[in-house]
Formats: sequence, structure tokens, C-alpha cells
Amino acid sequence: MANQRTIQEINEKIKKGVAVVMTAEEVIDLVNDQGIEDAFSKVDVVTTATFGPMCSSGAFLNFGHADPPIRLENITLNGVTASGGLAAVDTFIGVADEDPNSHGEYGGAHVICDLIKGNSIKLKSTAKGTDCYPRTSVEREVKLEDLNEAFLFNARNSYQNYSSAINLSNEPIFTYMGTLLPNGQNVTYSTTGQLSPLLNDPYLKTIGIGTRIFLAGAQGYIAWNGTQFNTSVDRYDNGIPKSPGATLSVIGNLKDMNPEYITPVVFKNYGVSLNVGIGIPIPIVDHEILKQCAISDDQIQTDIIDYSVKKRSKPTVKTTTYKELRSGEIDIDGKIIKTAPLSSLRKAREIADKLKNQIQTGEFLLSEPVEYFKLDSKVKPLKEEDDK
Amino acid sequence: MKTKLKITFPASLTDTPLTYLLIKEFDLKVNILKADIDFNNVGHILYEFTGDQGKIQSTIEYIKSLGITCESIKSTIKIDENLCTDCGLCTSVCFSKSLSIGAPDWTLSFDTDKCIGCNHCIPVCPARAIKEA
Ligand code: SF4
Ligand code: SF4
Repeated sequence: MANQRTIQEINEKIKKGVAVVMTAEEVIDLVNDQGIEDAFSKVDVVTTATFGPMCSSGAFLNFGHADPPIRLENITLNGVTASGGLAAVDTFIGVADEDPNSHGEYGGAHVICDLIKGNSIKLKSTAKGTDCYPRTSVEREVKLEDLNEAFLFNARNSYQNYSSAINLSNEPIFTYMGTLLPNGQNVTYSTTGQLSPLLNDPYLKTIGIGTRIFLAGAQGYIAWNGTQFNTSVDRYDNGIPKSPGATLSVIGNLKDMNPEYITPVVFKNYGVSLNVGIGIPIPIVDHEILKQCAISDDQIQTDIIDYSVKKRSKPTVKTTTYKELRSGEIDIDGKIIKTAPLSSLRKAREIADKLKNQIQTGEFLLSEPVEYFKLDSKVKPLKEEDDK
Repeated sequence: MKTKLKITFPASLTDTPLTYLLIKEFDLKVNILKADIDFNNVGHILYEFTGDQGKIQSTIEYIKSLGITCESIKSTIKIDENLCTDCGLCTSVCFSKSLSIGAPDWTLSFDTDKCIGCNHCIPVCPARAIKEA
């Protein structure tokens, strides 16, 4: 029995409509029932997915030229500041920038999602006026269809094994992990565990630059490694990083996105962020990768970190498994504490199923990465003032 | 059977000892979930009563006869299903377990009977799907 196959061979099967695709949850049962060898002969692709807040997102937009033309500066979109630091009618809007009049309830994420929904947004800009761009102000209502290009760029997402949060101080704290109640009364966690993309391919054997992915309903691509990319982390025997590891940068066309899979979020006393739905197909090229995909929540360990410690490095309160977190309660030093997710497993499952379907029907072909990621990347803190 | 009543006192009646009257007149098992007086001197109470429907009905009529507004409600919040992403974060602050999420389907469920009207979930929902009812 063959114990290897190539991405090309898988694509041939997809084109013929005979590729077998399973979600990362379904494949666990298959491997448990039939063992790696038999399972390998039965599955070609495993789909993984996540749907959760990804703060490091934004969009590049090109508005086209007015007549007479303007070099856009001091740009706002529905009151949210966008960058005036690109070429004349290009801009970048970050999801976390807020409209100062919205009391933190409307930001770049809302602008991006309004565009995707087909709503019109108000572009306002003033400029100093130059010989080639004489105009000094512009104000227009524009829709996504009016723009030349509009693409999402996300510099860090799909965090591999992001830590869970607790607050052991005696005051509530308001974080991007939600409201953490005093005296350790709740724990929040933010990955989809056994369905999470980079936990299914922890050594990034099949995922690299150029990998085609499901990005908020569009076919997007992995553009680069994500920021704070860390592949030299300590790992458990099953390859899962002991602390937050790899991340991805991704890109995709706003015009192809579905508002179901990209939504704005607001965290009390923290700010605006963007929920992004991502699905990554994993070609089952050998036994090793199938073994990784078959890892289940009870085998994925993660740390619960005390977010009340106002330092870069926060202490670990307990190391637990996703199975325990998913049970809704966790025992910490004899105290039963409520656990709650931050990313939507329901939506992630929907994405994994959708991607599975797209591959089965030949709508979505796998791509061979043009470059693989390095496995010795480290993360540096910001240099201290007295560092040389 | 449990019933929640939302009471609004006009400023002129805010000092009515309503809870005392209700217990005395109707021998009701009453639980005050919330009580406050706003800057307009309008008083608000959220009661939870245990008792049969007939008794509750006459209580409502009695309260209204005093000139106090009284409304029977299921819970203090409503969830917009179109905005809810089923993330589950609201369950992290709901100690009555009125909001819950879990296997097998991981969609949010809301048991209005258990809701104690604390409204903690409203600001916590990142999708802004929970509003005051
Ligand atoms: S108002 Fe309070 S009790 Fe009711 S659902 Fe929200 S958090 Fe739970
Ligand atoms: S926090 Fe909001 S979006 Fe998330 S499950 Fe609760 S109601 Fe739905």
C-alpha cells in the first residue's frame, strides 16, 4: 500500500471529483477506528478552520482618481482615520482604529464589513494640493463595487496554541480575551482546538507561502509568515507547541467575501477588532501528517495565563487540555471555574464543511507552497532604552 | 411557576413600600432581582415571583391600581440571532447559567427562566447582539 502521495496527485483526484475530504474533527474518528495505514488510504484532504478575533487585520483600498485629481491625505472613512501615507488614491484602514465620536463602538472593522455588505461609506479627505494633484478636498459616498481594488491583509492570525486567560486579582479586567472577573471566576480561551489550522500541521509541513485558503468566503492566500512567528518554541511529544507558536499573514479579495464569515467585534474597554473566518486544507501526503491531523482536544495542552499581571511575561496558573476547557468547567486548586470560548466553533465547523464541499466539487484546488517556513524563528521583545 | 415583573414608579410614588404591601396583601414569595432610583427620581424594581398565574394576575392589577407601571417580562435582555456568531463569550459572565453553550452543536442557548436580569452579558457580547429588552 502506498504511504505517500503528492499534492499534484490529490489535485488530479479533485478534478475528477473523486478526492475524499474530511474535516479535522471527522478524521479523528476515522483514524481511531481504522488506524493510520487504513485511514491514509481513505482520506486525501483534511479541512481545518477557525473563526475568531484577529486584531492585526486591515484592508488596502484604491478609490480611483477624482477630476481634478487629489493626493488623499487626512483620510476618514465613516469617521475612522485611514492611512494617508500611500500613493495618491490608495489607503490602508486598520480594523482597530475607531471613529472618535462612536464611543469605541465603530471602527475600521465596521468600515470593512460595511463595504463587504454592500453598504456605502463616506470618504472624506483634505490635501495640501500639488502640481500633479491640485485638488485640496474631496467628499464622496462610495461602495465596494465603486473601488478598483479592495483586499484584506491580515498580518497575524491562526495563532498556534494561543493561551487561555484568567484574572487572579481582585478587580475585574477588560481584555481582548473578554471581561475577566476578579478572583479567578472565569476562564476564556480562543482557538478551535482540534479543528484549528496550525494545530493540525504543527511543523508547517504542508502550509507555506502561496497556500490557497478559505478567507472569509473568498479564496485567499497565505502571503507570508505572521508577525511574532515563533517556530522554535518548546513542544510536547506530539508536536504541539507548549506556548503560542506559528502565525500566518493572509490576503484575499474583499469583493469575494461573505459577511457571514467576517464580522466586527467590540471588546468592552479594549476596543474594536475583526472576527475572521479562515479555512485551511491540509493535503494528506504521508502518515506523519495524518497522525498530526488525528490529534484530538484531549491531547492538545494549553496554558491558562493570569492576565492581571501587568508585565510582558505573565505567570501560568494551570496547564490544561482543550477537552477540559470545552467541558465548560475547570478545576483550579480545587475550585470549579467556568470556562467560555471566544472563537465560534459553530462557525468554524461551518467553514470546514464548506471548504470540504468546495474541494469535493472541484471548486477549490490545493496549491503547493512556493516556499516553506523556517522552523527556527524566534520572537524578540522591544529593545529596552538602555540596550546597546 | 416563576414570573418576572418589571415595576416603574412615577417620581411621585417612588417612596411607596410596594414589596411590603405585596407580601402583606398577597402572601407572595418575592425575590428582588434589581432595584434602583434614577436621576429623574423614577424608581425601578425587577421582581421574581413564585406562585400560580391567578395570584400573579391579581397582583399585577393591584400594582396598576396604585398608579405604578407593571409589566410581566420573560427576561431583561434580547438576543439578535442575526448578529450572534455563537462565540460563547457571554456565557463567561452569566452566573445563573441562563446563557450556555456546549456540545454537540455549540450554538448559544438562552433559558429565560433562569435569567436574573443582571445585564452583565450586554457589554461583554463582542458582536453587540445582546440588547436590553
Ligand atoms: S442578564 Fe444576567 S442572568 Fe440574564 S442572561 Fe444576561 S448575564 Fe445571564
Ligand atoms: S457573546 Fe454575543 S455573539 Fe457571542 S454567543 Fe453571546 S450573544 Fe452570541
